[in-house]
Amino acid sequence: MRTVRSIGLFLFMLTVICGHAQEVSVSAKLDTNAMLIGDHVGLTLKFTGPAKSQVLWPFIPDTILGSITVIGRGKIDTSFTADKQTVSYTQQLNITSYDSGFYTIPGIPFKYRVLPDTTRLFASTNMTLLAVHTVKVDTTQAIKPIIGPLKVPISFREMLPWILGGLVVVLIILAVLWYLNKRRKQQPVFRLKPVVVQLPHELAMQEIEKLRQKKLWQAGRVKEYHSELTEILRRYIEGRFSVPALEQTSAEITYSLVNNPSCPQHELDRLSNLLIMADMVKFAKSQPLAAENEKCLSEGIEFVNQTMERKNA
Amino acid sequence: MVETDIKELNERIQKESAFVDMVTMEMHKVIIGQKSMIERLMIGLLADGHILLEGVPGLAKTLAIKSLANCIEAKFSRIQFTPDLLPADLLGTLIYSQKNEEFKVRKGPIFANFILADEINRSPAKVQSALLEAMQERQVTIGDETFKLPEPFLVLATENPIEQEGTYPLPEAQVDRFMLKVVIGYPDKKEEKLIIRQNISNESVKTSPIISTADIQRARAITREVYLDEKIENYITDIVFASRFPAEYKLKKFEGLISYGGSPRASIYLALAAKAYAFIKRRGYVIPEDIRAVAFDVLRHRIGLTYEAEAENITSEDIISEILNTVEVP
Repeated sequence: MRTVRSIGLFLFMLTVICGHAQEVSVSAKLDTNAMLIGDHVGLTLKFTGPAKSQVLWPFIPDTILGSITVIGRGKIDTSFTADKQTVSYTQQLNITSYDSGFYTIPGIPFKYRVLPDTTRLFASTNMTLLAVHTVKVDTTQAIKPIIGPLKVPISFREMLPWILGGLVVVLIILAVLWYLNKRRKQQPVFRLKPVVVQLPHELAMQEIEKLRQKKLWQAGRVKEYHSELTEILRRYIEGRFSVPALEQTSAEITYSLVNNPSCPQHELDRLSNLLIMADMVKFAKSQPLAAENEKCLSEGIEFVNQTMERKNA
Repeated sequence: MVETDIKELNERIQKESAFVDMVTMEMHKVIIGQKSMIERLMIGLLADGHILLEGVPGLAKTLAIKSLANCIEAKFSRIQFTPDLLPADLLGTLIYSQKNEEFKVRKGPIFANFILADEINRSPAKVQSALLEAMQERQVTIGDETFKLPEPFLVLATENPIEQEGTYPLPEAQVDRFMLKVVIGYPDKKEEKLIIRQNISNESVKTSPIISTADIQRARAITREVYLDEKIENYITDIVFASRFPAEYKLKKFEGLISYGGSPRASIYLALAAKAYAFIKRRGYVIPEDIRAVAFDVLRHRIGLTYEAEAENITSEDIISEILNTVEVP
């Protein structure tokens, strides 16, 4: 019984030791151990360990052993095994040497820890041999000159800026010639269409005349007639007095024009009566008499005539 | 000149609206200034819409509502909303009578014509929703029985804006049930002096009942008859739509500032409040002035602002003002 226990303990210890030994492995491998001077060779650094490993990646200087130069460093790749228990970190370095000889790249130390254990552990790669050979030179042959650079045909892309530049220059020359020609003939450079600006009262009068011709109230469309008439007057007030009359109520419009020197009190009363009458028609189903409808129009015309902007004589 | 129905309506309004001045005068015996608030209370009364009053403490919000209730021969209840208030404290509950061995209904203070819900934002959401549900449905269910609330039924709620500590702000959907949100400002110097004089004198002033609930019901019926032209309807919809889609109304600058615009309730209440305002002004028809007069109180709690608007110190009043200045008046 005791013997069986001892064997069991031995096997358990062996498993633990082997397991631990298999837990972490580090390596530094060259693509090839021999190369020509100035040639490139890959050096692969690899760390394999438990998924919870934290590795302090070794710093490789730009020059190793004074003659081997690191000319490229790849990113550290991470990969896991299918069971997600083991992780591998790999980095590819590109090295070269311009001195022939035999080099021994020393072991590269990896510092790591396996969580949750925070003990810092070390693992080192094996030393690696690298032979750098020179090129055999045939001294019997004459020394040849260096081959000159090859001529590459010019592409359209390279020509495009020149073409565009040329076009711009041509256009500028044409514009200058056109301008000089215009100047010689004493013609204006740009002909602007004259903008006809109608004064508010002119516009109002035109619209009132159109409204009269529509004969709306005669056709029984009294509400429409008064709505259009007040809208014409509101637009006129907006243009003439810079009062936002289209967005104001009748009372607000009258209030806005109080104390305005261009709109005397009797004109204000005239406008106010007209607006009140229109409000009654628009909002209180009022049906004015025919004479009242006509009067509203003539009062509107009178208001515009009396308050319109007059040019100084 | 004016069609008979409006002419006749105008005459009826002239006759029936006499109490408006009387109530206003009676209330002014107790309350100095606050003309706008009293006018809004009258609008709520006539348009059958609940009112939310907001103002710092001491601006006579509670007194105004109490005085209005005193002016009308009606049952009045005051409910002070507190964090520990329960829906049953408000609506009523079933009480077991050991003598009769049965459950008896005990109606809560909500069974009154005028409810003063003081500091409504002090109680939790379940109490607020109990009140607001009763406001909307105008009935209360206790146990298996449903009881109709008396008519007129008007809730006048107050909330203090500065006392945010320990308060439960009303959700937007519930605030929407109030027809008007009236913001009360401070009285001017002259009014303040009168307030001092009135409060330090030995004379105690009280309002007395002037009208009955039947008068109110009659006035409400006439208010509903006030003529609202299609042009005014278009104006209302334009205002409400401008709050929803500002870019379509040359108000692109408000596009990122409004999180939600006025609901259809806003349109309904704008129309109703404008009708009540026209009634107060002794008119049988609504004009754009009426809409503009009530627009702020109807819309201010119905326009949601984004964080950007709050960061730029833009208020719903600014937005309403701009909308009114942009939408064309018919």
